[in-house]
Amino acid sequence: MNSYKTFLTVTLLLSTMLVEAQVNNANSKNALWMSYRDAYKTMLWFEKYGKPKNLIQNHLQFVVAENMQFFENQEVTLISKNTRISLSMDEMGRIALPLLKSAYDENAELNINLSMDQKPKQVTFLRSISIVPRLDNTYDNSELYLACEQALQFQQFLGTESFKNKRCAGVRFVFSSADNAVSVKTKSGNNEEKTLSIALSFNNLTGNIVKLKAVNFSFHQTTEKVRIVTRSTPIAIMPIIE
Amino acid sequence: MLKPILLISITVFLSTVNSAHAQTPSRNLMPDGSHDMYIGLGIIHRPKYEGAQTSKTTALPALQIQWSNGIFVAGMSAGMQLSESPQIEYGPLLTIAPGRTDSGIANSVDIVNGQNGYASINTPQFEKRANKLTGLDVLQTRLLVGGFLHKQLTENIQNTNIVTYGSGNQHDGAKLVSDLRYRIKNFAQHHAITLGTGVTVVNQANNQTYFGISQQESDRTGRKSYITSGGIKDIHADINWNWSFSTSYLLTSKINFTYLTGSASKSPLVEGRSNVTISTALAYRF
Repeated sequence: MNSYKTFLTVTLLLSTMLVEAQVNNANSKNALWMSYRDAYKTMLWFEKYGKPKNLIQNHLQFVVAENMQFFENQEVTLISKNTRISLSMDEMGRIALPLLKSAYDENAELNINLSMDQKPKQVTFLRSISIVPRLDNTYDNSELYLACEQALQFQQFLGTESFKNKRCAGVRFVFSSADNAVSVKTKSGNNEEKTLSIALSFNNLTGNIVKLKAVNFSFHQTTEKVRIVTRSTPIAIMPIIE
Repeated sequence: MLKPILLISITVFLSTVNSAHAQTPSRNLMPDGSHDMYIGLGIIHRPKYEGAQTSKTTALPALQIQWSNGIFVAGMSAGMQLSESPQIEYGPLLTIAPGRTDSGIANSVDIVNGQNGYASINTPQFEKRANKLTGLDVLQTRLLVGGFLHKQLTENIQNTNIVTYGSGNQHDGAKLVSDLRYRIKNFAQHHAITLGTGVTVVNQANNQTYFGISQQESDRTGRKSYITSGGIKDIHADINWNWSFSTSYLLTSKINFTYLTGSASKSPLVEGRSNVTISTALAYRF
C-alpha cells in the first residue's frame, strides 16, 4: 500500500512539473492564452439560433475582467498543430471568430500577444451582438428598428437577465476616435435634412466610459420614414435597449 | 489466470461505484462530428462507505467524453443532452452503481468538468477485518436508469437535478439529488470555482439497501434488525476547483461535505453522520 501511494505521488509530481515547464514556456513570451473550444462554445448559440438574425452579427469581445473595459488593439492569433491564423481586433476589442472544425478538433489556443510592460489582471471574453453595417452607408429607420428587435429577441432567447422586459430605444453608430470625417445625417419624407450630434465618448453597458466617437439615433423621434446616411463606415452599430 | 487480471483491470479502470450520485458534464457546443474528451488520473480520500469513520486513499481515474450529437460519458454515467434551449438541460441517464462487500464500496471513475458525485473506496481482497458491514448481504453491481434536468436560474446559479432508479439487490432503490450550483465568475485567469449545496432524497428501498439490516441479515448475524424509511438521506455541500495550465492540461480538485439525515443517520451501520471526501486529478483534454 505504501509503495502504491509513493508511486502515485511521484507520478503526480512529475506530471505537474512537466505541465509547469509548458506553462513557463508560454509565459516567457508574455502572451495570454485562452481555449478556442471555450470561445467556440460562446459563439455557437448564435449559429444555432433559428429565428431571424439576418440583420445582426456576432463577435467575440475581449474585456478586462476587473472593470469590464474593452481590451482593444491586441494581436490575436489562433494557434493549433496545423493552424496559425492572425485575427484582427477592432477598437472595441472584438474579433470575428472563425468557426473551424479543424481548430476545434486540434484543441486550438487563442493567443493574445502582450507587450512586455502589459500586465492586465485578468482577461475574459463575451459575446457581442451588433447590427450589420450596410455597404452603401444608408439606412431606413424601420430597418434599424427591425435589426434592434432581432438583437433583443436573441438576448431574450439566451435568457440574459439585463435584457428581460426591455424594449428597443435606438441605435448607436460607433466610429473610430481617429475618424475625422464622421457625419451622420437624417432625411425625412418632406426632404428635411438634419445632422445628428457627435459625442466624443459614450457609456457602455457596464458603465465604463468608452473614448470612441458615437452618434445616437432614437426611434422615438418620429414615426414616419426616415433615411439615415453616414459619411464613413462605423466600427459598429450597437442596438440601444432600455 | 486471465480472470484475476481482468478483475483487477475492471476494478481499476471502470469499477463499480456504490452510492454515487450520477454525473453529467456541463453542456458543450461543438462542430458536428467533433468530440471533447478528458482523461485523467488522481487520488481520492473518502470514507469506506457512507457513514463510516474510517477513510481510505486510492487512485481515481477520470474520464469524460462529449459528442456533438449530445451523447456523453462522464465518470460512471452515460447519457444524452436533449435540450435546444440555453436555459435548460435535460435527458436520459444510465449510471453504474458499484457493489458493496463487508470491506466497503468499490472504486470509481470520476468526471472532470461538470456536476459530480462519487462513491467510496475498497480493496476487497485485502480488507477482511470485522466491521459493521460484516455478515451483511453483498450488494451486487447495478445499472441504474434515470434522467437529469438542470435549469439556469441566473447567469451564475444553476439548479441541477439527477434522478436514478434501480439500486439494491431488488433493483428498486430510487434517488434524487437536487443541488444549487454557483459559479464564481472571473475568480482568476484560468481558474474556475463552483460552489454547490443540495439534498439527496431516497425511497425506502434505497435506504434499506445501504443503511438497513433486514430480518434475514439479523437472523444470520445476531444483530438487531433495522428497517429504514424513505425521505431525505443527506444534505451536502461541495467546492469544485479547475485550474487550467494550458488548453490541454488541467488540475481538477474537489472537496465534498455530506451530513446524513433521517432514517439513514439513525442506522447502526453509521459510525458518524458527517463525511468528507477530497480528490484531485490531473486531466488531459483532447
